[in-house]
Amino acid sequence: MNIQTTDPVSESAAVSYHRCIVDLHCGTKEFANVPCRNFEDVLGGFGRSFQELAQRQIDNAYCDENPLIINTGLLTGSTVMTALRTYFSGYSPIKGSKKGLPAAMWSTGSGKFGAKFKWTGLDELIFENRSEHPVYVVISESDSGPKVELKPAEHLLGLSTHDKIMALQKEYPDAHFAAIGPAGENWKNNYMGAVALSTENQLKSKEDKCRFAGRGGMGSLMGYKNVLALVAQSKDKVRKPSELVKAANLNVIKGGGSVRIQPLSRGGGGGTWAAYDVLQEFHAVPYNNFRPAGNDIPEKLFRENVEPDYHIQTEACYRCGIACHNNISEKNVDGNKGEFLAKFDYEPLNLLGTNIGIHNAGQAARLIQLGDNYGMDSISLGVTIAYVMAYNERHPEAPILNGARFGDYEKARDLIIRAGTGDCPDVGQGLMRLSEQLGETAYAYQVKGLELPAYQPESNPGYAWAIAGGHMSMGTYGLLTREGKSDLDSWVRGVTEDKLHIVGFDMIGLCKFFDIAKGIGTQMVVDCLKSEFNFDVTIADVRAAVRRAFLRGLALEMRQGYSKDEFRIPAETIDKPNPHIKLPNITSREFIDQLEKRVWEIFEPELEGILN
Amino acid sequence: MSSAQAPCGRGLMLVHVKLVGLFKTGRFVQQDIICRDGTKIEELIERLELPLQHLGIILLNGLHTSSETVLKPKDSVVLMPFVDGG
Ligand code: SF4
Repeated sequence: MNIQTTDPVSESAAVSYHRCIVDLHCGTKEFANVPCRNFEDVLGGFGRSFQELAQRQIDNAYCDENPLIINTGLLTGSTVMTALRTYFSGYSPIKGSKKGLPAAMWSTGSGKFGAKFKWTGLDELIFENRSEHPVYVVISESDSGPKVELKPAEHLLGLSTHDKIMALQKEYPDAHFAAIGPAGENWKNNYMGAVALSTENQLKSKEDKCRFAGRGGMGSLMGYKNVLALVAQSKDKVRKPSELVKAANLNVIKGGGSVRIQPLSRGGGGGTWAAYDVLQEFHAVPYNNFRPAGNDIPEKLFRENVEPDYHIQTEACYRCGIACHNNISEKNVDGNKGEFLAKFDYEPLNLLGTNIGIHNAGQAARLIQLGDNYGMDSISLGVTIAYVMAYNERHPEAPILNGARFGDYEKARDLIIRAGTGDCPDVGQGLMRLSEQLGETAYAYQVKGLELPAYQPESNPGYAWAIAGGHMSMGTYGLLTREGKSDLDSWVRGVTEDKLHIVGFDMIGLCKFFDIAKGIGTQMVVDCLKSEFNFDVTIADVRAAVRRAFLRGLALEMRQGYSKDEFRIPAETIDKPNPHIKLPNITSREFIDQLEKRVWEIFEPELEGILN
Repeated sequence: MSSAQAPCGRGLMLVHVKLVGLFKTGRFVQQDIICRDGTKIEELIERLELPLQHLGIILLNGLHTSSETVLKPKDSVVLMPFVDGG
C-alpha cells in the first residue's frame, strides 16, 4: 500500500494499492498502483473485491469474464495478532439464485500465505480469462517491485492439496503456498472446491495441517482458470510491534473474546470444539441432517470422550497467540503422538461426524482429512452428504447414489472420493441443485445456495441475510443460545445492526477470534490503524465502512436475481418445529414473517444506489 | 457447606447445579447445593470458583438469566462456557 494521508476516510485516493492483473489466456501482466475509491478499498479484502465484482455482470461462474481476485486486508502481514488472512473472491459456482445466476462470494483463510503475499509488495492479484494449460503462479519480491510468473503445472495435476504444497516446497523452500486439490481440478462436476493455505507447522512437520479458504467454491473457480497453486516468495518482514499494538495483542490474548478459544492447558476454553458441550445442553448439536433427537449420542464426540484414545495437540498459525487449532492424531501404545489425522474444528467435526451419524472420532477425522486432501469445503460437503443420507432414510425403496444411510462410514467415504474426483456431480455440485433435482427441498439445509454451518437454523434465522455463508458473515448464531434473545426487536437489531459487523474481519485481514463479540469497530482496531499507518480514523468511520460493504454484498445478491423468498431458512425448521431442541421457538411462520418484514424495511432503502 | 444430604430449613435452601464443559473439570457434573436464602447466582459462581472469563451462559430453570438473579429453593441452575464456532 502506498499511503500519503492520515485521513483515509475523506482522502481515500491518497492511499493506493499495488495490483497485478494477469490475463491467463495470453500471459500478460499489468501492474498498477490503484488509488482507493473509499475507505472500504483501503481496508481491503471483500470490501474492495466486491466493488470490482459489482462492475461486472456475470451470468455463469465459469466464464472468462468472471475474475478470481486474490487480495489481503490492510493489516495482513502486520504485527497485529491474527493478521494473516488471504481473501479469494469471484462469482461463485456453488452459490447462486434460483434464476440461475451466480452470486458474488469471498472466502478466506489463515496460514502464512497471506503474509508472504503481502510482503512481496503486492496487495491484489486478479486473474482474468483462463489458461489453456495447467499453471502455477509465483509471486515474488524483486528490487523493482513484485514479480508474477506463470509456470507449467502438469506435474501437480491430480495431487492432493497437501501433496501439491509439499511438491512446491521442494522447489521454493522459503515460500508459502495456496493450492487447490483434485476437487478444484474437477471444477465441471465439483463446485465446492476449496483453496488450501500452507502453515508453518505443515511445512516443518510435513503433516497436512493446511488452513482452508473453503466457502463458495473459490477453489473450483481457480481450477476452472487452470491455476493449480500460488507461491508467495518473500523474506519475512516482521517488525517489532509498537506499544499500541503490543497492548492490543495482549488484550486479544488475555482480555478479549479469544480466551475461550485458547488451549485448555493455558486456561482457555479449548477451541471451537468446546461448542459441542454447550450446544448439547440445548439438544442443538446438528445430528442426522440437522434433526437433533434429544439423545446423548452427540456426547461421543465430546473432547473428554475422545481424548483417552487419541492424541490432541493445540497449535497455532505463525506468531498467533490464540492457537485455535486442535489437531488430532492416533495415540501410540506408549501414549505418544502417532499418525496425524486431521484438524478438529467444530464445523468439520460436526458436519462430517455427528450430523452424518458418525460418532467415532477416528472415522470422523479420516473423513475430514479426506475432504481436505481433495480440497473441498467441509461444510458444503458434509451437509450435502447428510442430505443424501436423509433422502435415503425417507426413501428406502428408491435410494440415491450409493444408498448411504446415517452412520455408514464406508459409503460416506465413497461419496467424498467420488465427489473429489469429479465422479459424483450430485454431491459435488452442492445441495441446492441436488435437492431441487429431487424435488425435496424442505430438509435441504442450505440458504441461497450455500450449505449451512453446524448451528441449528432453529437458533439462527439470521442465516438468511448472511452474504457469504452462514455464521461467518452474519454473527447472529449466538443471539438465542448465548444471549437468550427470543424477542423480535432483538433479532431485528441483531441482523440489521450489531451482528452484520462480523464481516469487517473479512476486510481488514484479521481472524474473527481477534474480537469476535465486537467486530472491528473498536478502539483496539483504531489504535492498531494509528500505530501501523498513522491513520486518524474513528470507530464510527470503521463501522460505517463495514456496513456499506455488507450492504453492497446484499445489493449484489439482489442484482443476481435472488427473490426475497430465497432469504429464508429451510422449510422443515419452520413447518416442523423440532420438539427436542430446548430453546424458545423463534422460527415459527409468524416470527419469520415479522422478522423478514422488519429487516427489509430497514435494509431496502439503504440498498438503493449503493452499487453505483 | 455443600452436601446434597445436608439438612435444609432455618434460612437454608437446596438448589440443583449443573456444570457444562470445562467447568466440570475438577468439580462435578451435577449436584444439589445448600445455599442461604437470598443467595445470588454470582455468589454461587464465586463459591464454585468458576473462571469468570469463560462464563457464557446461565440457565435458571431452563431459561437464560443473569448472575444477579436471586435463587429460590429447588431452583435448577446450569452454568456454561460459550465458544464461538468456526
Ligand atoms: S486465530 Fe487461529 S486461525 Fe486465526 S491466526 Fe490464530 S491460530 Fe490461525
